[in-house]
Amino acid sequence: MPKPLIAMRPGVFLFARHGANGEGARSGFGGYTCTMRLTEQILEILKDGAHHSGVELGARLGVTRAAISKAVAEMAEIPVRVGRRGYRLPVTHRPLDAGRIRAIVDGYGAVLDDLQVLAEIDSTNRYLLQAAGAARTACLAERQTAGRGRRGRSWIADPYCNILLSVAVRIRGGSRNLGALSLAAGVAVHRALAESGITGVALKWPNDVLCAERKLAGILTEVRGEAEAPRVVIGVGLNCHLSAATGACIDQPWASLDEQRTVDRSALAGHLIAHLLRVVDEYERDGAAAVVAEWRTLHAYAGRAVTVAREDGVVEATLVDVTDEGALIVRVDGKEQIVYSGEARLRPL
Amino acid sequence: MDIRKVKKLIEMLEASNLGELEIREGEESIRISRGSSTITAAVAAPVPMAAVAAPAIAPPVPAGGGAAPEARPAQTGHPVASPMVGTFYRAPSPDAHPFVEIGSTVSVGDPLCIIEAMKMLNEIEADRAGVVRAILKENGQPVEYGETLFIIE
Repeated sequence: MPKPLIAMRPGVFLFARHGANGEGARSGFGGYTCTMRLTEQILEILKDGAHHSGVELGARLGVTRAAISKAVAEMAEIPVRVGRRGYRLPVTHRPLDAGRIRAIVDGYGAVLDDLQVLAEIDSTNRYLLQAAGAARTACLAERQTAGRGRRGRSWIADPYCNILLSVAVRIRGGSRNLGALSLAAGVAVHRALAESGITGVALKWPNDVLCAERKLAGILTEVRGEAEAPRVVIGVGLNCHLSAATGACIDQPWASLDEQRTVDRSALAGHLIAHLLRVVDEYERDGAAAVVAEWRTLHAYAGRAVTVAREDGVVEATLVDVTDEGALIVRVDGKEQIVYSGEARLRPL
Repeated sequence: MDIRKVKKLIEMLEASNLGELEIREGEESIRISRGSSTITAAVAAPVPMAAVAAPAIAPPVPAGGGAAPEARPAQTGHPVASPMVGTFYRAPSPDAHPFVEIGSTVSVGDPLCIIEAMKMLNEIEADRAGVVRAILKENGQPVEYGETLFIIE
């Protein structure tokens, strides 16, 4: 059995947890006591997408109709539909279903020790980085209060309608050439999206997932632990549905999946977890070159004029290729340079 | 030059308090310094009047405890090496304070820096408790695999 991760912070709790043995849904967190807020209890019932009357919800949860009405009103960011037949969740906001996610991951034959679906956390990456040990863990959150990006940047997403996922694995073979795993994560997200019927997806070095040259998903990979068998946490933020208000806060062109279709978030999360685990296995078994070769076929800006922003300034460059280790090859003033870190943006012509 | 001889010289340097060792033997010369962890072997060019013999840079040889930069006296502390090729950051984000300064006291597990490659951020932790005696890289600089970043004493 995987070890319990960390003591829970106030306001952070699990509402579903699945063990490696694929047993059914359990409320709560084995060995811990936790209280489920009324709002999350209501969402648990509404997640079937059907209508539920205030009377029925009140009776099932042991509270008054007025308490139900008040709790729903408090969920300002989750647009619960209220009508004559009762309350209903719009399809974009169905809560993640840990049982279905686990079934999809198991269907791939992927090895996952622990799956956690959290109602709220500061950052799924930070949460998994805190845990030690060799367990392969996936963590999804309905809401992130401090979602992170590269070098102090943040990730923002409306709650209950996007995918905020981290997967923790231990990598045999050491951290020396780990960088290519970051590109491999982008390849895995591309595969999962393709499997879900999403088209027109390309990758921007090292692993931004683009759709029509706008950012659809961001990946942040973080490493801890000893150099011989480091623990790697791959975080994926994927836009499924963003409100206009949230979209206005994003400082670069963005895309979301509902431009193409309303996605079943639980199914997509299952595909994402399975493909991330699979690409990690491929990377460990076959090395970096094979997955980097697949990455090259998805390279969004090959041959394009860009600016590359680094900590020490911005340079104008032309994108050439990536090395077999996953580093970016750019041409600056006619000379090729290798870039290990930085942010490439298209240069207006 | 015999590789066993080079190895012997490295051991001699490590056992000593010297920062650098240069030996000339006929047309061959070798210079080993602790600072850059590199061995520079120069063979005098047979071309007459060549201003400077182009030094052939040997691939970096991990010099074990060798750590202090060339200009400093040899240090005896514990070196913390980079586990990967990448970019060295002293702070968690560009506008944050550095994790440590020279003189900071650290415990095992305290973060010292971040190495980034391909947006993979590797937070390097102290593997020994002590005081940070030297920080050998500037923020934002590229680092090589095995290169010494900090000396903890």
